[in-house]
Amino acid sequence: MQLNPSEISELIKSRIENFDSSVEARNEGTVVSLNDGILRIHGLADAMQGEMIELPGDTYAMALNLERDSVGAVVLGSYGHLSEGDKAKCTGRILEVPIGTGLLGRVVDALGNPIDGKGPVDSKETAPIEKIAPGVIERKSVDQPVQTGLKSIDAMVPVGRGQRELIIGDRQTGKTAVAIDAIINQANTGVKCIYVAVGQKASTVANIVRKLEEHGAMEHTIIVAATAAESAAMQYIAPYSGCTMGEYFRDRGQDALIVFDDLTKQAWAYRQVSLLLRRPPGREAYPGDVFYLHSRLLERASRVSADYVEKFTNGEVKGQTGSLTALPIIETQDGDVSAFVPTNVISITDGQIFLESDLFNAGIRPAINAGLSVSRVGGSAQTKIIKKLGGGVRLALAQYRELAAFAQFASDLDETTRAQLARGERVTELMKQAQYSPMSVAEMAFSLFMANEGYMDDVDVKKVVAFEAAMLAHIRSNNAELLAKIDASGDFNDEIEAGMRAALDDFKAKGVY
Amino acid sequence: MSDYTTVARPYARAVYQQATESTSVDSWSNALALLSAVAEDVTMKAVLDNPQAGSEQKAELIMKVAGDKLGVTQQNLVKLMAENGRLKALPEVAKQFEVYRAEAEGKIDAEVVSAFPLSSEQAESITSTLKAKLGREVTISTSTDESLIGGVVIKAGDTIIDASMKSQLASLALALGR
Repeated sequence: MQLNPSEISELIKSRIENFDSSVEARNEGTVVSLNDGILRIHGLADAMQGEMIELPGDTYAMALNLERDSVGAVVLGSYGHLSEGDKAKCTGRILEVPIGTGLLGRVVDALGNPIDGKGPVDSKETAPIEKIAPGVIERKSVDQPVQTGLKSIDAMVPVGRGQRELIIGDRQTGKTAVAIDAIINQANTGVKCIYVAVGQKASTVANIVRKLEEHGAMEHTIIVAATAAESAAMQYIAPYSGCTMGEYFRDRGQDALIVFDDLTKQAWAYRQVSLLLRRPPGREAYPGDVFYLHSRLLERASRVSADYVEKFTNGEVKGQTGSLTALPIIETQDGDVSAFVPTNVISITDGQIFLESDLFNAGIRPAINAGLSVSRVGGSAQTKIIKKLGGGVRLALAQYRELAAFAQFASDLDETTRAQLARGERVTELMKQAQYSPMSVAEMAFSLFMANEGYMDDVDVKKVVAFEAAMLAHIRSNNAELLAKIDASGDFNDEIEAGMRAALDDFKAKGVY
Repeated sequence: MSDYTTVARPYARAVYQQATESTSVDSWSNALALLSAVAEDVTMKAVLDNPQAGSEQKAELIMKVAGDKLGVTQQNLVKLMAENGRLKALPEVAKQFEVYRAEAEGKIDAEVVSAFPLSSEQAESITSTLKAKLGREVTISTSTDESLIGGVVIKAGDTIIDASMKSQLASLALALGR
């Protein structure tokens, strides 16, 4: 027999002494039916929408349908031990999850219970999973960047703190990889990350946890996992739980990044729950409020003003704005972005990163479609140097794609067209980036500067990736000061330009690539 | 059970209004109790479920069983419900009628289950405390259940006050098991 650490006599004694045995008058009802995790409870006249309902065997349910004589509720967790005729009690509490810094580095389920075997979560505070997003007065516009460390994103579709940037694409196009790279890149930025896995394989989640640990990114990350094996109700509430955990940081003047991977599966889970609750189905059998399902969640990702933070913390934190940046992920079927849920989420978010399987298969990874990807607010938050240097990339790629299609039929091309094609080919190559290798602002600046100034026009297209790697290695060992300076200020001026030019000339002259 | 709640509500309300207007609440209460007992009888249920029996036959049968204890309006209720095919909702109508009545008269029935028989002082003090808490005239019915070990469980409508030793031990066990 093994003894649990919690079974020491002293501990048991103190727990018995502190046991709250007060008696309260509670509303009670009877379970009339239970099918597929949906309870119909007779009685419970005082139940609130979204209230936790206590069932026998330490199980809870969430009230979703309040009807005249009965309450429709979903069981959170397993329901094998429940049966018709069981007593159900109101708890008077809306569903809550633990919040706080104690959750960082942990893997929890949708209710905030640890599932990583590292003991109880060190957190005393809890907060309801459904909250109203900050109002107009409490917000501040987005003007600070979230560096994803991926040059194609930071240069073409920049993400600002407090922005909602959708990552959309078919299966196997690297959506999760983009999000994980963004999390890894937050290691030294102080941005706390929350990764919400909805309806994914448990093995995938385990893999992600391991990758984050390997890259030292788990210390600033919370993982909320509602895997495919968990009930639809858990998958439905997981994004809200994660959002509440992220709001803890936002409301205390810190910055947080939340990834919802993915909202398509959450919509499926909600559709299942709604249909079982006999709510009328609408388009694609989704219930009528599937838009609100996502809009109320994504509205909570925001940048809040210093006044709001000060008021929230009762003056403890002054002069600090808070933000919660959201990277929702949507999986499309065969590139169909005009399906119901993708169009909804595209319209809610402040831009999208569109990933394509054709590009992915052609070896362009991250497989970002530069034409369809946009960031509606990130431009004002972009680091100055990247904004200055990256402006040409989008244009070069757009022109290249147009010309490339046309050039297939034309036999001889004039000089400028050929130059544009050559530049475009090289920029396309340059936008490739390996997984788990985020770049700093200065490194990105060098790559972009190199492309703009034509340093690689004489490099063979197939060698661009190697050329860039050699260049970065050279700069890192010879111009570390300049890199540090760019990273610190993020400015672009004549002095920095001259420094970069000198460094690149030096690299080309040595010809070490 | 709850299937008939919604169906029974308009009948119960109409009956209660008729009863208060004609000041025959008590006679209606007795009649409904009788009718619900009749409708709940096993053989009667089989008849009510039989699709071959006509609604008039069913109504007649119920009235015959009830004998001369039903007034004209009460017989009309049976006929009406038979016509609408709702005779099986009779027990629920009776139940809801009593709820309307208790509400209007500011009364509530509370069930007190205790581990040991309550003394009359104890019952008295529970009654007065409940009256203060619920703001209504409380009638308590007591019973004993040894499995509670100690304490009492009070049920008044949907509200339950569980102050039994049994439930406190169960929640202590849960808290220690976490």
